[in-house]
Amino acid sequence: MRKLLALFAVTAFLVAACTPASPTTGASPAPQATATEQATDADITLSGPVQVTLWHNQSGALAKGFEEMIKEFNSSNGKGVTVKPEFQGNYTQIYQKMLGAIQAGTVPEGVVAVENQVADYARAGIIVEMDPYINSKKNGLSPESLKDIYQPYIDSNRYPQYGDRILSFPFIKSLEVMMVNEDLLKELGYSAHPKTWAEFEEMSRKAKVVGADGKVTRWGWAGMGSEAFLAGVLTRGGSILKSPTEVGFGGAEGLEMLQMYDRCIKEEFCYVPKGFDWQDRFGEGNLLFATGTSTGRPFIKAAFKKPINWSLFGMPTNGTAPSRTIQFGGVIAITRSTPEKQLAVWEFLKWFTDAKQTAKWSVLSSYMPVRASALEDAALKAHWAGPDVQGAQAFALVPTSAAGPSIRGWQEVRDAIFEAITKVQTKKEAPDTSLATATRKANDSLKENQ
Amino acid sequence: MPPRVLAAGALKHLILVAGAVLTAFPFYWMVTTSFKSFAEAQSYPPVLWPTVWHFENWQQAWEFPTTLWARSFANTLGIAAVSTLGTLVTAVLAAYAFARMRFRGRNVLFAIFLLTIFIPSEATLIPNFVLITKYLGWYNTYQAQIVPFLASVFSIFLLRQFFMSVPQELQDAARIDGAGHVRFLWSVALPLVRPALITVALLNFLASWNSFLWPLLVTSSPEIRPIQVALVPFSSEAGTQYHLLMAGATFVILPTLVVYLIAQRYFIEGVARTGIRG
Repeated sequence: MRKLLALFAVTAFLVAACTPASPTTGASPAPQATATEQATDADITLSGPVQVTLWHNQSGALAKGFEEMIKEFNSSNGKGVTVKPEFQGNYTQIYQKMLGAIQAGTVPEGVVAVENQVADYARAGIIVEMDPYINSKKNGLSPESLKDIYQPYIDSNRYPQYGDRILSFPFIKSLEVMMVNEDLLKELGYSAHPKTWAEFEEMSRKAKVVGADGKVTRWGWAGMGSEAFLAGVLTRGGSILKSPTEVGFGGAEGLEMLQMYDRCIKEEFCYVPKGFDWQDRFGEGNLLFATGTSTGRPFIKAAFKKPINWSLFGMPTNGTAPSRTIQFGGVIAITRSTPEKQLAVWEFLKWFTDAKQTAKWSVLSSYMPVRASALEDAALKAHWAGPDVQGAQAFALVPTSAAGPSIRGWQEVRDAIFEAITKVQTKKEAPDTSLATATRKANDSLKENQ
Repeated sequence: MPPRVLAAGALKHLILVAGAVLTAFPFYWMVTTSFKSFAEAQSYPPVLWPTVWHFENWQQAWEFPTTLWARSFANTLGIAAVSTLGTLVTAVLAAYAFARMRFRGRNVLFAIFLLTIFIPSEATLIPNFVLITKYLGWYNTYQAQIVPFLASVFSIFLLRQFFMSVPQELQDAARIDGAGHVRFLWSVALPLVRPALITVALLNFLASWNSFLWPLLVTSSPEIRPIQVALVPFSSEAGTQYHLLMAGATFVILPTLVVYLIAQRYFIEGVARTGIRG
């Protein structure tokens, strides 16, 4: 897999090297104000039927719901826009296909991606800057409408390597959340969620139960992935990036997270997942805390063997830093085609992320809505008040969330973090050694991708 | 029978049974998991036998939204049949030429052919995609899923070994009777290498049946996509519905299992004679 990823990285580099840089995606910042002052491609009027293709990653029931919403848009937009959705696998598979399509000149007009992939595509000069569309007096968003979208969502679509311009738009958003089995918490004698990592560790340790055969049958925590690690760094007062070429997690905050995990593994109060099996441990009632994506809620519920009272809450902190978490998920980028097609994709994005649609999509998919006003939607309110209380709990964490940087090379940084965690988890390296290696690899990756 | 011989036989059988169990276990796991509940499918320690048999899983997997099973089966069958037939034709002709015909540069050419086996498929993925979509305009077509697989170096290599083992005397006798290369190939050599032909056909059929990444890359409509791509929707970034995925995997594997059971004698014979191991 690593070989494959490395190959794609090289290919991405070659794509970039062989393609002339686009004026809309050049490395130097462009004065954004001019976009709204003079007519651009974003200000045209759609006069005839326009069909655009959107490569997406929604499958199964979500795909059905997504396609139904697209049908609704196609029949109701009144501008002759027809969006043709095409499922192309997961993010990695879409990325593979995009690399080929860039060379073949057959990219779709819209594509679902994660931010660092968009940064790669932008290097090949195929991505349309969205600031003119957002700011267009004719086709853009009003200041109120823009303000209604959570700032972290907008921020994650700004690309520092491209003058902080907006090159994508939020599509499916999730958060790294802390899940707790409230029944078990109560059973252990606690009446509140842990506020600090020290409390969290103490509670987790207390949750451990060893069976007659000496094997652990109940654990305190599961789910130390890259996002949980970064959330831990932030809530200990650290940062994700110090500068464009230097990560911020290589200091004391990152080390404290790994050391906590090391203790957790050695003292066996952490459950080490083999995949999504931690959901089953949680569903059995044998796991006190779990960190994972907020979008996994339906899977958690499906794993319940008996009704469990459970909640989502914000990450513990070091006692002084504010509670924060990491948000992630897919975005949609518009590729360079004709002004009409580019605008057509934008019209769809605008529609899909308005309050009514984002609320509807949230009920359907368990992804987070992108707008604050979605909370006023009756269907979402009812859903979150009833069967999916945890959805509202996750949504409350959005304003204080932060995204991973939208830069080229970020995937390699995540891989380096993951490798460090795995080495600690498998007791192959001490936290300080694994963190030092991860930091070096991450910084190298950032430098190489400048 | 002396006890030592008996013990050796028993040990041999024990090892073989262990190997058989090890090989069969993934199939057993797949089928039983397809009848488990969502929770049981990923429980730890693993549950070997479903507590409650969820027969409805198969119906749910079959009716899984956006999955066109019947169409995908038909597509896969068509693609696998045509590409297998095509591979047989090209491989037989090329292998025969390399084995039985004398021409300048034969060994060098064959060595070059063999070298292509060592190029990782990941390295050719994007150039092939560009060729198929940009230069041939075959994006989202059946031919994009068939034509690149109409020739197989491995099949040529396999058949060449068989053609080389056909006695020269037979060819000489055929020549005396007035048979040229085509007549000799058709009437004498091919019947003699039937196990190898079946092996090549089976290997290519299975490769085509199991093909996933390439069809995903070169197609966009579920209407022309093969069966392996139909399994993708059971997994998402938030979790995997293992019980339904295993039910889907069982649907997918059943036809190949039937084909294998019918042709296994030839398959084993063909593999054994070339000394190839899996």
